[in-house]
Amino acid sequence: MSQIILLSSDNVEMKVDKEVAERSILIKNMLEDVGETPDQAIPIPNVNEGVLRKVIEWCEHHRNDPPPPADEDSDSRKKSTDIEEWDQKFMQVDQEMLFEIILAANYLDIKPLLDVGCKTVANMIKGKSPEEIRKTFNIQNDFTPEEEDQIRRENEWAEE
Amino acid sequence: MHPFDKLSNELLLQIFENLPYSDAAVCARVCKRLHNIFSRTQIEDYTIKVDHPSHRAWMLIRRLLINPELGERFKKLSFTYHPRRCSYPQTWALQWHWTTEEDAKLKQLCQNWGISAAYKWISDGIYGNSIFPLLLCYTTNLKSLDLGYGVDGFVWPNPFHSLHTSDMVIRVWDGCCGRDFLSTFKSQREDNYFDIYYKEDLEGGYDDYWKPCLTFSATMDQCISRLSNLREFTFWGLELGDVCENCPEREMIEFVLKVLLLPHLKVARVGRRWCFDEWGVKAAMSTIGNSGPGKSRPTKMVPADGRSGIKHLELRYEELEKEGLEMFAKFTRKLESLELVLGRDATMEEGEKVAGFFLENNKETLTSGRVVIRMGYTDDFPDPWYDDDNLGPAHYFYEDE
Repeated sequence: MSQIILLSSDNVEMKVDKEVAERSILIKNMLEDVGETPDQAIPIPNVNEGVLRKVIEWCEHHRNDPPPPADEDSDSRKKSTDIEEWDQKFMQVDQEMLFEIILAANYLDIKPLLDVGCKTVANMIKGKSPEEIRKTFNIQNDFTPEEEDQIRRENEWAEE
Repeated sequence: MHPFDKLSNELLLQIFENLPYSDAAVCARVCKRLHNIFSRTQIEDYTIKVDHPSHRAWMLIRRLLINPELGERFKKLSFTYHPRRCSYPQTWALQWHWTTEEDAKLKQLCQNWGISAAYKWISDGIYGNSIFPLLLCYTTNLKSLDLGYGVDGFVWPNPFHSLHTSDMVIRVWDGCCGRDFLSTFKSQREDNYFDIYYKEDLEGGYDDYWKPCLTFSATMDQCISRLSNLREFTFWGLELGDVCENCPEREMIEFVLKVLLLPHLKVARVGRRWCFDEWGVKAAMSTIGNSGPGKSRPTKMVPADGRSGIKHLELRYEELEKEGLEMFAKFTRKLESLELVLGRDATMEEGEKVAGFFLENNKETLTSGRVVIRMGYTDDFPDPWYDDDNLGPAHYFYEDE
């Protein structure tokens, strides 16, 4: 099994099975362009060591997953906030790390991981009031009370 | 900087699209940035509770009148039906009132979109069903439509009275309109009060209560051309009695057949009871054949051979109509899978036979390995009026009299 070396933004080298690293479409395309397994480390400028280790851990676990279906209309694209158990445990990290994983998954183009990350955040939002959401994510309310009231009325049809 | 701020708008949008729409709407009230993102969020799945006392469905139309672009964001719409139970006034969705300006706008829109027949009912604000055609004219990007049971009735009868009596209908109707049936008509109750009421107080007479059913299918026809992006269609409302020429039931079969002809439609789930009676299918198909499917359908949308291109079909029916289904099977040609769910009055042998019709007409695409035939459970044929609400103590009409 051929291995490649990834270089995190804080200059830490990590040896990874090529197959695992190729869960990232970005890396996969890069390797395809190069044509052969490179001896030199591949720099991942936007992802630090801690986050990169987390992402590799996820890729290791999901190395044998079938590729996601390409058909946009298929049922598997159906939105649901169900997350499989291993992924749920994997995502039990502090907020900062959670958002870093999402950003890394987006940058490295690992769609299923990005999906899990977005669903995790979605689950943190579900069922909360605007004030609770502000508290959870430390967001400043920049509405005047009048604006807030108007938006509430605009969306009355949508809220439960 | 808080980590949340690092997420791009595109990523936040993706998070929003993982949320039920009601939660995303709450997010819109958190801060300006989220509000902006929310107003771009596609509505992946929205359920409209027809005739729910909360009036959410009417509120949506009110919003669409101001912001028609909202309609283009809907990807999937489902309808459920909230019965007005005559013994439970808390289930009675009261009449919805439009402002004068809104009403004028509605009239104009209905005219523009060729659904004038629906205007009176939308304007009345009593029948939730009446908004269907108008709403579907707005949602031009819809990929999936679930019309549910398409219940047309107005009142669910008192469980202690087996008959769906007219005085119940009138009484609930009056209650919803803020009138009190008893105080006005108590004196006349004993002598044929219904006739008096019928003749004097209701413009169109008692029949008016049932007309939305007709209006529904007649006006729905006009929406079909606006549903051209549809991939999935569900409708369990085909509950037919005697099918005759020009009756609403036949119009409904015709409507379903026309939807099945939509160019991108792949998945259809239809049926319920007596759904494809031979006469009805034949009549509906001949209408489609004669005029091109619907006066409203541009001819370029019609497949050359006049048959549906759907790939997956689920049929549920409580009573088998073999002849009708044989006709219906001829309407398909590209099926890759078929699920037949049989009601209590059907047998597996009959099911096999019906499956045979479909295998015969879809020889190139359908193999018997992709056909599932099973007996339905109660869940497959739920009572369309069933709902889980804890309704509290009932108020019976005749107790206090």
